[in-house]
Amino acid sequence: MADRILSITGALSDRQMRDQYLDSMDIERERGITIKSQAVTVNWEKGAKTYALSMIDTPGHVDFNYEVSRALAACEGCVLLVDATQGIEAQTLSNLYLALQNDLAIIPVLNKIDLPGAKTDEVRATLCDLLGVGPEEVMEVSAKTGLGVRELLDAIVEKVPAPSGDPEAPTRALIFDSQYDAYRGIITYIRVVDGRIEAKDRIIQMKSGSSLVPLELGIVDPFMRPVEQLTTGQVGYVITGIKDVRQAQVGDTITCERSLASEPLKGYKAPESMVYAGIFPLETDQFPLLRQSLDKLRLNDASISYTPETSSALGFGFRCGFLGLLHMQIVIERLEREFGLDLISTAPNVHYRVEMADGSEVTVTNPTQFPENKVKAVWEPVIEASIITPKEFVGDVMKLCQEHRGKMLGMEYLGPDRVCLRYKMPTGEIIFGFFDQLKSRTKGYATLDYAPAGEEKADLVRVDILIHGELSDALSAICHKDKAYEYGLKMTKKLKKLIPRQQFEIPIQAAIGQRIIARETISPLRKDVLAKCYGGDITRKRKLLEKQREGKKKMKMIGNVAIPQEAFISALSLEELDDKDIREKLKAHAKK
Amino acid sequence: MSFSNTRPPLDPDALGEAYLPSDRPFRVYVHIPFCLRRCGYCNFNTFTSSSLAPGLNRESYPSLLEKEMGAVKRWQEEHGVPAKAASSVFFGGGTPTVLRPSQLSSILEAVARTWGVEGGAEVSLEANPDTVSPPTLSSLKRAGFTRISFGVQSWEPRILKILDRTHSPAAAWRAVRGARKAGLECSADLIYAAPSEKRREWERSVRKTASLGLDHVSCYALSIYPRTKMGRMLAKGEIREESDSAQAKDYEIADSILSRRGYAWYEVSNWAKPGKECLHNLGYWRGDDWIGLGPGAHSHFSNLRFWDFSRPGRWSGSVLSGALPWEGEILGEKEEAEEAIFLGIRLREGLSLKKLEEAVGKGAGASLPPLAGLASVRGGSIVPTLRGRLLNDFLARSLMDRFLD
Repeated sequence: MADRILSITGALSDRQMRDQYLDSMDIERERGITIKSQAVTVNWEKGAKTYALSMIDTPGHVDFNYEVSRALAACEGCVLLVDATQGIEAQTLSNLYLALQNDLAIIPVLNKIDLPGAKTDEVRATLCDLLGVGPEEVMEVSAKTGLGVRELLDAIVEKVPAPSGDPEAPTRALIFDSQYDAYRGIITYIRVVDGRIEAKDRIIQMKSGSSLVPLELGIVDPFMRPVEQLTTGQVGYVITGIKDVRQAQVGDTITCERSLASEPLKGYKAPESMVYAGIFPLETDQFPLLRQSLDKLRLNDASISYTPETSSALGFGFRCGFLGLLHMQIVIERLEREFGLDLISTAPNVHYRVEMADGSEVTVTNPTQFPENKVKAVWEPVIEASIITPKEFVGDVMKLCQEHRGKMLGMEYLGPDRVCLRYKMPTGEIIFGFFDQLKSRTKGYATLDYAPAGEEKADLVRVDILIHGELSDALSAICHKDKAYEYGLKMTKKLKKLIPRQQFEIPIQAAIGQRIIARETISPLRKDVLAKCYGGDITRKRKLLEKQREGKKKMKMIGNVAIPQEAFISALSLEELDDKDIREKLKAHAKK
Repeated sequence: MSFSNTRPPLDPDALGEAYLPSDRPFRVYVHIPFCLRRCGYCNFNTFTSSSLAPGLNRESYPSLLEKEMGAVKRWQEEHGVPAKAASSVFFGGGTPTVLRPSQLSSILEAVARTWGVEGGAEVSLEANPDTVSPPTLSSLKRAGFTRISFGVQSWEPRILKILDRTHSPAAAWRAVRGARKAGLECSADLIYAAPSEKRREWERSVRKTASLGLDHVSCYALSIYPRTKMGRMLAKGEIREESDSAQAKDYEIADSILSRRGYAWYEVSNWAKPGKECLHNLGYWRGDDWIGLGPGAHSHFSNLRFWDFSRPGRWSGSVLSGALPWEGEILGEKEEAEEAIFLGIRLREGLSLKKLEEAVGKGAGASLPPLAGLASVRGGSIVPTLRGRLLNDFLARSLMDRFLD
């Protein structure tokens, strides 16, 4: 849709056009999704006047709600785009509520109406119901063919109010995004709310207090184009040449010396991390680079949090907080691609609040912090999930939610055969694989959205993994009591397959405190010798031994067991191990 | 990934320039790249056709070898590499006995003309049990061969078939008897861990070998290489590789039977009656000098290692043009130290602490890594135990990890 608007308004010529123009990251183009909001200004003529429309294309996945809320806070109106072949999705609802909270003009639009599978009438009816509008207010477009897009642009000019700021008031501009560019330093994206900024103005960031003359002021149309000034209502960018990434906080207000403001704008609420994981460089000397990379990435993605952490198995790294699992995967992928790092991450977990017998409290973001003794109660975060599904899958969805300790809050019909189910569930249950399971049990039709909903008491334990009697901290996990055995069984089996045999027997145990709940044994390697060197080929033997030694140097040592990095990577991957033995043991365990 | 040895091979002149004089015994290895047929597990540089390349066939081969000897000798003279008399000569293959005794004899004579052979030197050849007859064996003895090593592999017909060998146990028995009658020292090679081999089959083979009064026995675990007949069978799932613990068990059985019958191990894969160790073989592990002749043969002179071109056409083309048919590498201090360790630790005489300290620096003997159960220090040498023989590569790596980089 954004692509079509860029071409219809002439912002991009056909030659410059490529699919997903605003999704500039490789990951976005490969996955066909939007991760980052992108702001771009286009011109549209209506009547005798030319209007500058600044649009922000926003992500759809629940993990990136924070991006959406930031974007909506910088806007006057929004286009609520609904796929006519899919109908209302769970995130349609949550984004709609965000827009309502921000008092935005909402233009409901049905997209893909040209496709044979479009259920235009049915979806229009549901939208009218939701928004309390008449059917004539729902626009119909096809981004692919361009049908209805001109009418939509006209409607935007008509319905979305002009910026409400005061051109004469002291200058205030909101930083809604920033990114680090290796050549130009930090690029800050701003929306001028009041007054104006001129290229020669000395600007001041009200929260950080830094004061600088911009090197460049400009707009994105969608190319970066320098301008002499940005006036009230305009969206653009500022380059100041600073490279210290802490200087450009998203949510901060920019003012200028010429016309100094006394009160900053409201800014943003800091996002809450939902998922935590340890991230470690494979090569220990990459730790400083990892720190710098995280600092730079945070400019572009304010929702990442991180604190240094040490693991006996993985060395120095950071415990990072993310908005969700997809967000975590994207961040790791971006760190690797954009900064040339090789990373390993621990299994993700949520955070817990542990009340101790003596009345003190511990916040656990890493399983190793989970106290073993004198625990009075453990509180885990919960979410409220909305799942929208065709009605034939309601039973399957309910079963899935129960398996994940969900409590049903309600169920309502959206039209004749779409149902919205609402559940309260532990956050920890939804972040791993739940979405995939939901998709597979509903043939891909169900959609999921969720929002944090406080915390609840839960019966949780920490499962440790011992390799040859040594605790491997990176593999510890906090599980519900009923799932501890399953985790222990699967992890010990996985490790048995992954750890190469060594010269001694290696027990692999899963334990809760002192109690061993599962055990596998890796039998010792009995023969490790080449029988002969054919024709006196000593060189080949020497190279083989050298290669084996190089390989071992790259391994991580847990006690005196050498474990290849790949074993950790596979063990920590969320890929589920499933075999007959596991199924039988779990069945027998359930009977007990 | 950075491996220390990714340098391109060097030509003979560059190698000659880098030669560092060193006084070591000198040995000669002659490769005979012919077989009547290829066995299922074989990945050696050997060929079944009688003509391998233009100008290279069974008839012309001895003269090509002689030409190579001449070129090597000239190289030695040009670069100040001393040409000593050979302390041992070894004909390996392939199947040396595919050539007529008169041909083998003429090759041996050429070696003697080129370098000389020490009086009483060990002169060995490898043979297939079904390529020798009593007259052949007597001719070989007369030509100056002192020792013969038969590829017996097994005494079990079923296993011989699995190994894709053509000879029968009876033929092997006749060959051994004939060799002893001819007055040749006699050795047998056995292969253990053939797919599906039962423990008692292996035991019977070892017992039978030990009962024949041979001087020397070698036992090798079957290694299945991907580009062999057995490798393809393995890939298709038609055969299964024996586990390392089954292989270890077989090795222990062989060691136990052989040592009770008067054979002592002197190298990981070799056992001999006292005084009957193969000196040529020991030379490889002791770091002696040797020249290898023939396609794919390896050579060692002090700090140089080089190898003849494997492809017969390339090899013979080079020899016929009067050039040296090989290329190689110069060993730096690190490589020499690595070799001293992993070669020495394979021997019963062990890795001497003196040699270790020469290689890696003083004080090494006092800071050995834990050798628990794998080796012990006896008479100033690190000597592997039975377990240390089975985990010999691990033992070598532990020592290298301790002393090198």
